[in-house]
Amino acid sequence: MSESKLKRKFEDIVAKSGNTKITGDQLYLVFKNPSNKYTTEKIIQIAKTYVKPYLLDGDKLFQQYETNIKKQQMNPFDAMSFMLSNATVVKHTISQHQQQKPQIASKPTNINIDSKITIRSDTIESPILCSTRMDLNTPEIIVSEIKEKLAQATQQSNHQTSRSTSNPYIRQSLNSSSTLIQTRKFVSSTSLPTVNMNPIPTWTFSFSDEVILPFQMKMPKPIVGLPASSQERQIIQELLYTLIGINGSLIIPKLKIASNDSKDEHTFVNNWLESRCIAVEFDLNEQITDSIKDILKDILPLANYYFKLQYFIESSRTPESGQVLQALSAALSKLIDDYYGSIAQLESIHLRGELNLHKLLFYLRPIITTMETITRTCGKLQEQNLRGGNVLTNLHDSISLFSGDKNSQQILIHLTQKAAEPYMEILRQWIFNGIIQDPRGEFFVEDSENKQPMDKNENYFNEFWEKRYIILPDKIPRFLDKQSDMILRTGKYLNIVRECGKRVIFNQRGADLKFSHTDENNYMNLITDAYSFASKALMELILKDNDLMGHLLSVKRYFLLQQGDFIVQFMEACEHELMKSVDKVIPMRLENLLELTLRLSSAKYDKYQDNLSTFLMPFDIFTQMSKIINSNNTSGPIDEVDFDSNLTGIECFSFDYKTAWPITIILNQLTISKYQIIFRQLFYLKHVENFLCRVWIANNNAKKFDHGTSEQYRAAFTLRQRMMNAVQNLEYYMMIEVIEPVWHVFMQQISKAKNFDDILTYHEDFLDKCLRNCMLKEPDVLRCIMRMCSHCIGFCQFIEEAQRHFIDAELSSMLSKSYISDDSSLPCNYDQKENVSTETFSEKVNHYDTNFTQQTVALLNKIHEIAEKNHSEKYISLIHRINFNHFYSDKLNTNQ
Amino acid sequence: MPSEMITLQLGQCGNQIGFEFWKRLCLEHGISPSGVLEDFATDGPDRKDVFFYQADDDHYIPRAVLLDLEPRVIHTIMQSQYAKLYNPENIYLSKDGGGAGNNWASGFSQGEKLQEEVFDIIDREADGSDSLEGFVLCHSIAGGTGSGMGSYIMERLSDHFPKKLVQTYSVFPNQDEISDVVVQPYNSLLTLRRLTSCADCVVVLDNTALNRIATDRLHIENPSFTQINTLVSTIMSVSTTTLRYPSYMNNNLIGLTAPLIPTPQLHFLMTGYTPLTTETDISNVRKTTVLDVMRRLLQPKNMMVSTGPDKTNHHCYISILNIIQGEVDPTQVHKSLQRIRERKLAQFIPWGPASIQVALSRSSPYVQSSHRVSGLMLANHTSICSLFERALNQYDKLRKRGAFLDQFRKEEMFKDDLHELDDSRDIVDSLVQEYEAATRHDYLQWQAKKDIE
Repeated sequence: MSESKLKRKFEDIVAKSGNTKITGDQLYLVFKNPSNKYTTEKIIQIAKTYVKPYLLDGDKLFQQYETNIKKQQMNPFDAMSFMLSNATVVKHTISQHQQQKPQIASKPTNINIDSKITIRSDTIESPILCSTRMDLNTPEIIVSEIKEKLAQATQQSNHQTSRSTSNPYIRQSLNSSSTLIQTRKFVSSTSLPTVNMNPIPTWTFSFSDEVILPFQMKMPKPIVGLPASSQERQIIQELLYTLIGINGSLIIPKLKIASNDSKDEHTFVNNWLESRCIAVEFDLNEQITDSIKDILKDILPLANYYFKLQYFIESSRTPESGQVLQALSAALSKLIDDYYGSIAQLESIHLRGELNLHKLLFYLRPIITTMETITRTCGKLQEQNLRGGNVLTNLHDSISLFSGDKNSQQILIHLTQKAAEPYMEILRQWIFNGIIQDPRGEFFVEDSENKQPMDKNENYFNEFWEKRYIILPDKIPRFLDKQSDMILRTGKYLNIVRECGKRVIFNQRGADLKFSHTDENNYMNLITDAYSFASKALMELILKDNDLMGHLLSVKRYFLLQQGDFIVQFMEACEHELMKSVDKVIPMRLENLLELTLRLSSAKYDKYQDNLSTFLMPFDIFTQMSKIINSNNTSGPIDEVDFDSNLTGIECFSFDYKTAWPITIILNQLTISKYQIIFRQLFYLKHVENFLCRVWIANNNAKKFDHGTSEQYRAAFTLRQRMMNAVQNLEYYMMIEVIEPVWHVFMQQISKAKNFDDILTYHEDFLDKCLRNCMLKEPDVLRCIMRMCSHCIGFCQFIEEAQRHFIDAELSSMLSKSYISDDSSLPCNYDQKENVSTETFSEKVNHYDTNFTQQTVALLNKIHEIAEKNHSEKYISLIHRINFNHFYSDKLNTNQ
Repeated sequence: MPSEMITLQLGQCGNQIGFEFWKRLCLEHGISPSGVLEDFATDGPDRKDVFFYQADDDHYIPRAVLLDLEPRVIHTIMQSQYAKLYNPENIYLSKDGGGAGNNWASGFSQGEKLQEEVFDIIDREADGSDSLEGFVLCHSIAGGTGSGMGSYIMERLSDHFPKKLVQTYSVFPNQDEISDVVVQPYNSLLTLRRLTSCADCVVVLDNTALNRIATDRLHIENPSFTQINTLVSTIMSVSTTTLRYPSYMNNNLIGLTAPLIPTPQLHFLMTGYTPLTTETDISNVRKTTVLDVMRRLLQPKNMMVSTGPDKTNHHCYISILNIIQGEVDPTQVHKSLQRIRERKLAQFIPWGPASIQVALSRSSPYVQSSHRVSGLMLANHTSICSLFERALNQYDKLRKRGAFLDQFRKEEMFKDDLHELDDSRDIVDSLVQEYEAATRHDYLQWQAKKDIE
């Protein structure tokens, strides 16, 4: 063991012991004992106190040390040197002896050539690339040291890559023994354009002749004359250089661009910039004997792999490649470090003269396989120009692809894990905090607001749910494929909760969101946990804090007319206004009337009454309905069209319901407009019913009539009753048979809803069922109903008018005579009068009657038609209602 | 507030059933006997203002006018714990306190004399409400005050408030026992005439049926007035439940009655109720469905009107409204209707469309009912005319003999002749004929035949 090495060892021991009184040099001097200052016993004593405790397996080594001195008569210094050369310095071994054991076993120290290939089960580090077949005399300390330095150096050199220094960067030589490392050279690429794009790493093969290497390799020695064994030695030396990318004289590297046949130097210098698939080939000196050439052909692909990997690492480092590739290249660099270590070990074996090509091939075989696997996998990534989630998908796939090769698979798993780290971090941020921190656009969930900020108007809320966050399916890593929907929703939920100003604190229980090939449940469970947390948080927010049910009930009360007394009262208040043509209706007055009614009626107990406002649609119910059906999106602002003056206020009237975030997600403009459709239909029917009731009470004056007189009006009365029957049955059908049961089901579903999307779907279903079953989606039926209704209104107006002329006249003449007065002459008096004037009256009633019957029958037939098509729906029960006692049966097309 | 109702209680019977009615309403709305809202009922979804208004100190006062010509019943009320409930200004007792002596004519003429004072009260009540919908009159048709004074007030009301509804809960006398009021047939007939031509809607409460139900179904041997009146108050409160607990439909009295009454004079409604208390054991066997309730309501034994056997089986429903309270599955309604339609459990008029309407109504959360589901039927059925026929027969028997007419002749109205009685008979007779005609196809072309005697 060299002096400097020994000194370092001592320094290490002193540093580990924490003793500040002595230095390594002092300790060295003590053991060196130049002036025989100390006795052998004393030295042993000192060794026992100062050195033994800090050696791995110190007891055993120390014992051997003692025997060496006492029995073998070894020089104490040589014995110490011998002991230390085999020892590893540790902090304090005695107590940790047992725990340290697995670590020792896994380190490549003292492992026999024939020992089994073990995979380093190191908890923190990557599976080591070096072959464990090697009999390593190089003490571990040196290897680790080299690795450390190398790591530093590569790191430093990384910073150098794009710098065009004219001075060659000479790597600080290590004071270690490896001459190989000392001769590694780093050449700045003066000949190559300094572009950011995929430069060939400068520390691999140099393909340019112009570069003057600072440490010029020795000129090729003629090896022809050499005996095979000497030739082999020289070739091994050069081969080892080649394996870490240093140009040699016997083995000449040649850049090759895949799928490019051009051999012209200049074109390929230009082309490799664009091409992603480059490789290295080697020209072997012709003087090399064929047998050696064959072996070299087996080994040299490794140099190609090394080169390709370096190239890949370098090209993945650019910020554009994204975090996943960067992480992957970092992990690969670590692997390369291991690779350097192995080569260095090989070299030290070589320097001892114990290496021949066959042995080398034997040692390298597993490394070649593994490197091939990695290179091939990375090559695929590069070829397809993948990034982000796709890289992970590809890596994930190759894990299963290499399931036969345990070692390679292990390394791939490791690489995947490392590469997935930044991705999982993005994922973690998203599912735990609802934040997308994805500067390079690698994550599969995209926040569209980043693309084009939406202004926070109505549309914003309408589209928020659908459009704000979207999944980009081609970016999903395969192992998250099944969860992608869940992941999207988790973050979406959290976002809403955060937008409401509530803090999201998810107790992560220290769990790390890590990709793991063997243990999928690890991250699956975390995702599920996060999802259920977010889902619960949002459900609580919507249902409890924001009282969704209260809002829905409120909407149901007004739009679905459940608060019947309020509707009646409101209708009474504004009917006069609404009977006018729509362009004459003053919206302000309606608003005031609504406010007044809200305050006076039983609606005053509703805490959401302020959300309600009046609204005049510039088009009729068909237009609104077809807008919903056709575009399925009325989110666009209603165009300022002129009111169709053919419409009356009542046909255009509707409520509007304003909600605040986050209820808006559910009660957005589209859903409200669906409610409005139902409302408009029901409100119109209610209006007709109300009108018929008014006529009824006015008609009730006829109860005072003589039976003979009232007979003339009976036709009108029964027609009115038939209208009432039809209108009320329509209402009953819609309210009691459609809305209420569907609502009932909806409530049951809500109580079982597990997440927010469920609620949305259920609500959508509810509205859809209502619209469909109320036949609002059937324009033909709707038209029939509206025609029938306007006919009823026409009849009511006629009767009101007629009442003024006929009935009131009759009544007043009756009232002028009291009951007691002699009425014998009166009946004929009316009769004469009536007979003249009712001629047209009864004719008119007849006319209305025929028309109404026609329309009702047409409606029933229409309903029957659509009921034929949809057996599942309830339409048929409406026919049964209107035609309960088979009054219309003989008039219908089909006998039911 | 729209659709307020003013209740007028007339005579002994009217005040008794009115008293039970208010007791029941107070219970359902969580109002204490002194009119103060109980703590548990402060934010109910009910509408108390249909029948109550609030005084300055916020306590609830019924929109009720109590009228009687003799003090006995009203005194009982004023000595009960509900004494403070009523507005004392709304209680009118005739000063002489002699009563009407079970004489329609006496009640009618006293009503005429007292009309100013009575209508002062009614006008004040009407002015006090925002948008009065109508009047509810509680009375019996057989006595003196309820029938006579009631008739007068009905006439005046329909003149005075032509646009308001007049609904009556009219108690018809028990036919199973011999009445001590000998002039009962005259009283009934004369009141029936006013009910026909002045009321918009008459809910017939037939004492015959009520007593039979009490004895046969509830197993009470000699049912007291209070027991009978509890039945009546149940019917009254349930039939107004859609007004007090508003939902989709039937939220005002017009909306409730208009669909039931196609032509102005066919406005006599009968009621049915289920379950009558002893049916608990049946309903416990399985879940009561809407169909169960509707089917039971169509059974004559649950009807509060005894129509007598329909020998020719030609009578039919003009219209039906079922008010169902309790925990029912709303999805069951249309299936039940379908079943009834298929099995033809109910017969309807042939001259127009008619159907069963079902209103699912909330019930008061403060009254614990032993039944999960209950139902009330309001029906317009042609067989109700048998009641009027019976009254006509009894009248004819007395009239032929000219019996007990001297009491009537004492009053101004009958001093000269008895044509009022004859007119009334004609009107009631044509009512019976109209109901009979309503069972036939040609109802629209039907004309009343006048008996010329």
